[in-house]
Amino acid sequence: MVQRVDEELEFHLRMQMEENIRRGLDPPNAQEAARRKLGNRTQVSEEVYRMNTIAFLDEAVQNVRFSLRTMRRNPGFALTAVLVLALGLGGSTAMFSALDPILFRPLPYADPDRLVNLGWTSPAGAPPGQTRTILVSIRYRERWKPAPEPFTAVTTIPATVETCDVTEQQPERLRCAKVESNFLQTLGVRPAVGRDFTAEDDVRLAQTTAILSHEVWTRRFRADSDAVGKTLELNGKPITIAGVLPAGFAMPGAEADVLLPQQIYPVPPGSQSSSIFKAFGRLKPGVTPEQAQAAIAPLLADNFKDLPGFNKGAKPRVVALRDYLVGDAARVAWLLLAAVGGLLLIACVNVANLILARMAARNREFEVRSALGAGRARLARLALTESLLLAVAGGSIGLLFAGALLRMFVQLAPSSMPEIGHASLDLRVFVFAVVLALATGAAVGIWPALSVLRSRVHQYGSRATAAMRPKLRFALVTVQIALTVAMLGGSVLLLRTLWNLVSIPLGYQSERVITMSVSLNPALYPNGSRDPFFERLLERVRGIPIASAVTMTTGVPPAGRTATVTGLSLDGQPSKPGLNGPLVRARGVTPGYFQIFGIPILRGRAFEDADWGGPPAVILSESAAKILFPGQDPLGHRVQLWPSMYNYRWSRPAEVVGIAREIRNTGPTLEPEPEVYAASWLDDSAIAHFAIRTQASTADAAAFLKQALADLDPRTPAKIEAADVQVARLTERPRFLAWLLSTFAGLAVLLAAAGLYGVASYLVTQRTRDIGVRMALGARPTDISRQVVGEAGRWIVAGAVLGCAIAWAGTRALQAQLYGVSSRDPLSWIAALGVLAAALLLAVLRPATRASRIDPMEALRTD
Amino acid sequence: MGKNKAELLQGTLDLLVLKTVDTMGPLHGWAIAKRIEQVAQELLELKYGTLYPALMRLEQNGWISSEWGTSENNRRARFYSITKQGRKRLTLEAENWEQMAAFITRVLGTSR
Repeated sequence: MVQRVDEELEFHLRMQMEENIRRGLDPPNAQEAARRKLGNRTQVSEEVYRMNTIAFLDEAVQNVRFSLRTMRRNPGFALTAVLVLALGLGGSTAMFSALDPILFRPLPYADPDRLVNLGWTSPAGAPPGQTRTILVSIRYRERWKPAPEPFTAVTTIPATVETCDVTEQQPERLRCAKVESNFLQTLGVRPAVGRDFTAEDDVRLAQTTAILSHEVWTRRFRADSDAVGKTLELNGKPITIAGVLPAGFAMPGAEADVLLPQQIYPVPPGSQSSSIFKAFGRLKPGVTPEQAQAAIAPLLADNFKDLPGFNKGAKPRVVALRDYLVGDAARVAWLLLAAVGGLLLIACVNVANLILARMAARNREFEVRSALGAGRARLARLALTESLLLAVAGGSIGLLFAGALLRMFVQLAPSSMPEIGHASLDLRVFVFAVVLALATGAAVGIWPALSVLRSRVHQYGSRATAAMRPKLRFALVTVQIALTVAMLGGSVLLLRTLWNLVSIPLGYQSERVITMSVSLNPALYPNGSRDPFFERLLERVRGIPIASAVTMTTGVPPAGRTATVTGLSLDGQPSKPGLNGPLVRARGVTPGYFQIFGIPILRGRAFEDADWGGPPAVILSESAAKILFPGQDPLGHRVQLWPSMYNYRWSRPAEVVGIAREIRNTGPTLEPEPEVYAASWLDDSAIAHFAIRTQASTADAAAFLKQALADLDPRTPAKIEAADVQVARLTERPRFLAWLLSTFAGLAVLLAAAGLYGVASYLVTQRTRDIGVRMALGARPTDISRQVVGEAGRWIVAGAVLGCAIAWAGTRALQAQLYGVSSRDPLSWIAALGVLAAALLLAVLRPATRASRIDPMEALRTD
Repeated sequence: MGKNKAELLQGTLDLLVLKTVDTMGPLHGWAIAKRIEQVAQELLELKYGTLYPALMRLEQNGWISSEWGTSENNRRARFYSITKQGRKRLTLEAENWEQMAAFITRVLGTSR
């Protein structure tokens, strides 16, 4: 542009100069005269630019003003379009924000694609949607330091984050994670204030230092950089603060307020204690997780030699950190994003259809404009302006709507997708929404604009525009119907899955059972004082009037806190090879456990009061009996267990007194683990669970339980929950997914029906004359209405077929979320089609009846 | 009416440019200027500088189109030609002027 104007002016001056020379002026005067004639050259260039911009702006403002005026004259259309767009845009934005942490947000570590989680998969299975990779090692330091070949660094954090209490002024309960000294280094994170851990900090018996999270530092130390060097009293011990983490840092797969050094090494000689960690590593450039997995296999095999309890059921596993953290959630997230995208598409198609209808009505207006000299591009720009305005309005309202929707998502999100809880509307999302709105406006307006461009407007009253051809609008409706079919089918499948999952009997009763879990502060209750405390608490809970049965256990079903057993001895014989390993779970229960949870004892007897504290007794689950004593009657045999827990002390042989029925202790869909129930505490655990059966409400029971605890120790917190709630949590994710997809499908049906209604009405109006003629010639009203329905029906069928085709292609994506029903299950799809057909026929009913009621005389007189 | 002198001049210039380009086929900017000057003689003092913004505006509206070409003395110049819309516009404007002229004549005539 710049060049062109300059060139032109240059050319002009030269020509003028030549003429001046021809007229007799000498060159310098000729040039001067030419310049004067042209006027100030810079000014001219500027004027030209201004013309360019002004013309554009002028037209744009004109377009906007005109569009606003016409919209005010047709408020129904504008309102409908804006609302539909708000729905689509708001929903997409909310969904994008909710899923952003899972799918798109970068991890807060340096070069996160090089980070992996390593260890082995426990053959004991895992709750659906989670992977369990752990590293257990005795000679960790010897084997893993320096980092083995495919890694530049390996670091560990504990498998669970502990609680630690601040015992100085302003007491509070924090989460402490004990990490290796190279933890932050491996992740590539540097403390924002102060220093990182060094190797000296990580030595056993060294003075303990801590690194605080940014949030704790801000809260307790008012973000004062002098906090470094001060002490904080945790669990009674003063800890020096070495540094502060940067804001926005998150532990991989956990949450922690304070980092402490592990201080495990050097291990006293001869110690056989093993530690369970989550391990992370940084791969060398160019190494894939699969290669690393193969590379560490021999290291893990060596591990197994140290720990005879872990058998070959376990496999090494190295997985990229992002997949480890997000895992299955990513697939769900993509599915949801696709669904909401489909909804947005349907909404856009609806609005496009509305706009096309209006274009048809404005046909004459465009003809007049064209006659007045407006070019086709200009007309197209006018058509596009209206769509953009609608989109911007829809987007703004949609953004507000998205905020509310997001809050709802966060509330309803399953706990197995915790990242959703951190979702918020931020600037990136806002930008995304704006871009989406503009793109939508362009997409929605482009077809009408193109149709205007392609119209051949010869003379006044010509009807040759594409906007008026109903075929296009019906085609759009077909697309809508197809998408709706796909979404509806998907939600039917998910609902059936949910139904299947919920109907699986878990093998125990959870109705009318309230559980309380009590977690003691290890500093306040050192080893040896916990058992007596829990026994006293059990007595008080037994005294609760509304409780008809009471039990205390190390873990409430389904899983609770059960231990993986690393060693077994049957009848005094050492463990057989192949029987070792995390085969069985052990659970400590008081008598009354089986009664409360309704678990029948198939052979032998349940625990009695004498068993608790008396000679050791165990009850085996059916599968445990089969594995440990194949082909025999286990009753009367002796079993000795070594669970892999700290402070394990129950190592006397116990008599098998009964066999209990199997319960699904790994969730509704996975194979249950064999279980051994012991009538005693298994270790010096600081956590105990109590369960009572009561007819009272959860709130009443909670009050009693809290009181019982408060009588003994008002400072210790308790977590009280109905067992039913815990059972419901097992099916949380499928419920979330089913609910969400059904809502989308419902909205899609509504929009598709509305779209069909609009087009059918329009058609009837267009053909008023024809219908009148036909009726005058003797057609009956029912014939007319049947014809309208028939024509609509053709498009519905086309849409249904297209939808089934889409679904057929895309069902594999859904299969992973289904249970008990195939993604191509005919019954579900027929149900979906049925629902949709019913809705659409209803939509078409009114236009059809209107057509049949047309008065032929009136019809022939119009137009 | 209420058009001020500037707008009137602008409208006139538009008309002149369109007519020139319509009659004489594709011309470059300088040639258009010379031709208008020729036709207008002393009636219109044309500052050549106002021509180029006018050409830009006319092109914006889609009434003329332009492309690069070679001038009679083998230089590169931008040539302007009228478009279909431009012709329509020209006809419309011409009609407007004629109508206005007839109307004014009649007014002046009958008041005598």
